[in-house]
Amino acid sequence: MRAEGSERATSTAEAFFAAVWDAGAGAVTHSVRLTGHRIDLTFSPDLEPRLMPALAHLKTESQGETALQVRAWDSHSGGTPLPATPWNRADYPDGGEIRGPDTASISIAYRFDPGALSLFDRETGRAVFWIDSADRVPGWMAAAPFRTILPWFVAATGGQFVHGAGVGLDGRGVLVAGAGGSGKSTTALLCADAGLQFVGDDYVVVGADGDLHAAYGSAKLDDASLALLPHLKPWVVNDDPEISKHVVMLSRARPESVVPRLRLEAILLPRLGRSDRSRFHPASASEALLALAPTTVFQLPGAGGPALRFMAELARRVPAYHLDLGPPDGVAAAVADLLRKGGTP
Amino acid sequence: MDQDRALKVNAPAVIGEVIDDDVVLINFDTGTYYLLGGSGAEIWPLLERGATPAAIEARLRQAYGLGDGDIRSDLDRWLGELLAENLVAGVDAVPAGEPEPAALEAAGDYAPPTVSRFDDMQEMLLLDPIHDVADAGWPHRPADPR
Repeated sequence: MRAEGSERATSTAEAFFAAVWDAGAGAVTHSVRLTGHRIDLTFSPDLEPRLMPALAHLKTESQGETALQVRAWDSHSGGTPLPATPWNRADYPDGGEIRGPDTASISIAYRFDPGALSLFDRETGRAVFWIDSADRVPGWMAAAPFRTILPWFVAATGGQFVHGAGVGLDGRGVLVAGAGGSGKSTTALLCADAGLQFVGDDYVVVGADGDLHAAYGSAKLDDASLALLPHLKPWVVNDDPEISKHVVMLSRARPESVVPRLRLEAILLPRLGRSDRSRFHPASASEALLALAPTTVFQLPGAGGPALRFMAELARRVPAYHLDLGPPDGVAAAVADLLRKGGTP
Repeated sequence: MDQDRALKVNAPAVIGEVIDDDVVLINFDTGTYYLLGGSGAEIWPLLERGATPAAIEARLRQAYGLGDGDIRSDLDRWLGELLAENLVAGVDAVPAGEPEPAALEAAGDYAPPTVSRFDDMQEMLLLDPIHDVADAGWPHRPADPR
């Protein structure tokens, strides 16, 4: 029975992928570099201005082998409807996201709200993103485009998307981890604003090489954090009520700070409001894993056991520190000092 | 607690990783995650394979050189919590052919196994449910999908 089911899933997935790929020939192409891999992105006319800004800092002119081809299209400006889907909305009354059935080669995910389909064929290095129209792309998706496809691709290359921020000095970096409200974004943005290097705020990639890699040029700030950094206000690109945060395109606000890669020296777990000055205290590997893994695996597709093992390996290998955040004006100096000392306080 | 009925990790909904002297567990069905402490990291590999409470108790006594001291009440309480949280489930038999876990090499003195439970991610998952589709495919193909 199982073998029969697997065969059916494979043939359904392959046929569906082929139909969606053929329907989505785009108009505008950009090449970007992620964890050193070249990705060619082809967009329908309306999707390019909605999805490309958060990836613009990764653009590359260099030639070389394409590791991933992505076709991003919307029915409205692309002029073709989505081919027949193998699911029925009535089968999933509570909405959310359908993942799978993944086959050996093809991964599929569909989000009912806003109605976005992601497909990835790891064998051919092809992926498709589809949505009905560009104006259905919510703010969180514009801030982190292809947040389903790119983690699949990165996992296929031996790396891992993680929910965290990355900042650094002279090519050495820290991964700032923690759930919403921990001070993660505030720490990262204070550092980037003070001239430290920046690879990302909400999501960063740990490559197969163990380094931190940039994915998105965006950052998300709540009201209190934006009040600390008022000169970033002109760079707020949208106020998305769904995420109740301000999205700042940091790659435009601080282009000189944004770097593609940092050598990972330490994991920082910030805590708000505990200290008269910013201080580091050693954290255990299990504390680092608790801060990194649940928030990552619940948000990103296909992040099950292998992702947990990847992050556990990371937490074992890289020293972790609690960062008791002191007054905002001393945070960047404390992080810079840690990095100057090779990642130890 | 039935001492002779094997318990096994509720995979694939539950994934776990032993790190340092702890275990980090994630339950994808509920959006809850856990930290197992004390001797939990020693016991977890036994539960991944499937083991009876009686066998776990015997392995702990051997590993820590415990005599007749009462550890069964610790174990029953702890395994009861794991069962109540659906982290493990009773199985009729431990599958044949799986390798026997290496003998426990306990570090330090025996400490009762503990469970810490975190539900701060739950809301996110319940608001935004994930439907993992089994390899048999989607449940229905609509007659007219558009």
